[in-house]
Amino acid sequence: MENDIAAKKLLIIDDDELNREILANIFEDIYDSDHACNGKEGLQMIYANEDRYCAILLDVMMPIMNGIEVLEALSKQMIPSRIPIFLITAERSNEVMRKGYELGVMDIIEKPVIPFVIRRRILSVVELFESRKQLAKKVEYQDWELLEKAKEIIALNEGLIEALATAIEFRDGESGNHVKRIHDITKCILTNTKLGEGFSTQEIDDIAMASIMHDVGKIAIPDAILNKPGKLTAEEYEIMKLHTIKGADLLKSIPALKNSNVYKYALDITRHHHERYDGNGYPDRLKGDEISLWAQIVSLADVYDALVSKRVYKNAFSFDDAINMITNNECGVFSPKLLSAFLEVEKDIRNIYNKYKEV
Amino acid sequence: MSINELKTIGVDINEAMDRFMNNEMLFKKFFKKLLNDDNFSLLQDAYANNDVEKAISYAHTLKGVCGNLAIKPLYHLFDEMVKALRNDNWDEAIKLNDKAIVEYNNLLNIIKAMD
Repeated sequence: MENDIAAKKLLIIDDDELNREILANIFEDIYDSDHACNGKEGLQMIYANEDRYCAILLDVMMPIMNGIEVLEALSKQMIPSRIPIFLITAERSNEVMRKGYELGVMDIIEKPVIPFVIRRRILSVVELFESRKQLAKKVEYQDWELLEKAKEIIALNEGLIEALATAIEFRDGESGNHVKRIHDITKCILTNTKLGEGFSTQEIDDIAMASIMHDVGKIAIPDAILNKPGKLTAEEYEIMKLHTIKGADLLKSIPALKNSNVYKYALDITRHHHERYDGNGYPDRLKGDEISLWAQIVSLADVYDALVSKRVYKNAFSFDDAINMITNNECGVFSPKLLSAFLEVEKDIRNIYNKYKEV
Repeated sequence: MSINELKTIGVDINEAMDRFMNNEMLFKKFFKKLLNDDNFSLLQDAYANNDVEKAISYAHTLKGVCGNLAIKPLYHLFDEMVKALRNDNWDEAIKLNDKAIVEYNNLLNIIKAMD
């Protein structure tokens, strides 16, 4: 295993063979060791394979490149924080010790070495470093796991929202594709037109998710009215209109939903997706920009989808006819800005219908 | 001749054996290596040439070797020698070197007689 302590090696950097052999022999029962005869050679070995070493045992007085120069180079690469470095030296001047500690050595051990002392001092530090690394790895893995779990939960939430909306669509005698198309049309308008300026991708996703719930209130409308093939009486129509208020009430009654970013959009869209720009919509007869942008977008998407789809009370209109009827205000008045944005992306919206074809 | 002979010139055999983790082969290997080690003759060259820097360098190396092998009298001589050289005390260094020559030759003779 790569992160197995026992699989790692010591790097001994010393110009004297006797010193190298003594050190290697002291740790032989636990670690294999690599040897370098001067600082430059040692530095190259560390750069070539940093992860191989669990500790560096470094002499100070060496030809070509001395121990302090090695430390200076390692310190620039932050290596002393990843591999414990020990100065093994006869050079116990204050200057060398101060410099060594400043450059990040873990310990300074006097030569000639005393085996049980050097073993104790080096092994406990190596153990500390390795367990710290293991811990960091574990935390990193747990972070990743948590993130995966969070993603799963979000996917599950979205699935449940979609399931609820689709169930209601089924009662309406539709396939469930209606809510998917509303979702995509809403997202398309916000993503590809000026209307989406100032919204983050996350906010656009939240609004699109909220649009799915626009008709949840229909669950409170009796079958006889919801599925009536003919024209509704004035009284029946009044009941039908209640699906906006009932929908908002339904959402308000689900405490868990209130913590979701989708909630504020869903509540507004559910209640206001039948408001009209001239104030002739319902239930609150909001006018102009009193109606939120997202509620306006969903109401237009809803009308368009109703026109081009077959319903119990009507046949499907062509896309061109639907556009004409909307722009002629035959289905209520929409904001001019919204209409022009909608026309801009209407070609893309037609593609959505290829994706979710009615069977 | 056994390694115990080394005691006569002040080698702390227990300390040296400890350092080699009681590996007698390694112990002998590094004592025998001294027979072919040229640091001491290079040190003599440095004195002959009045080269302080080189003298410090070889004395330092020899101090390390004698420290590791627990050759106590020589270790202390080289330790003092490095200090004297660093303090520009050339006369003192030469006196220490004269003592070291005697000790070092005794050492080599005993090692030559070792099994």
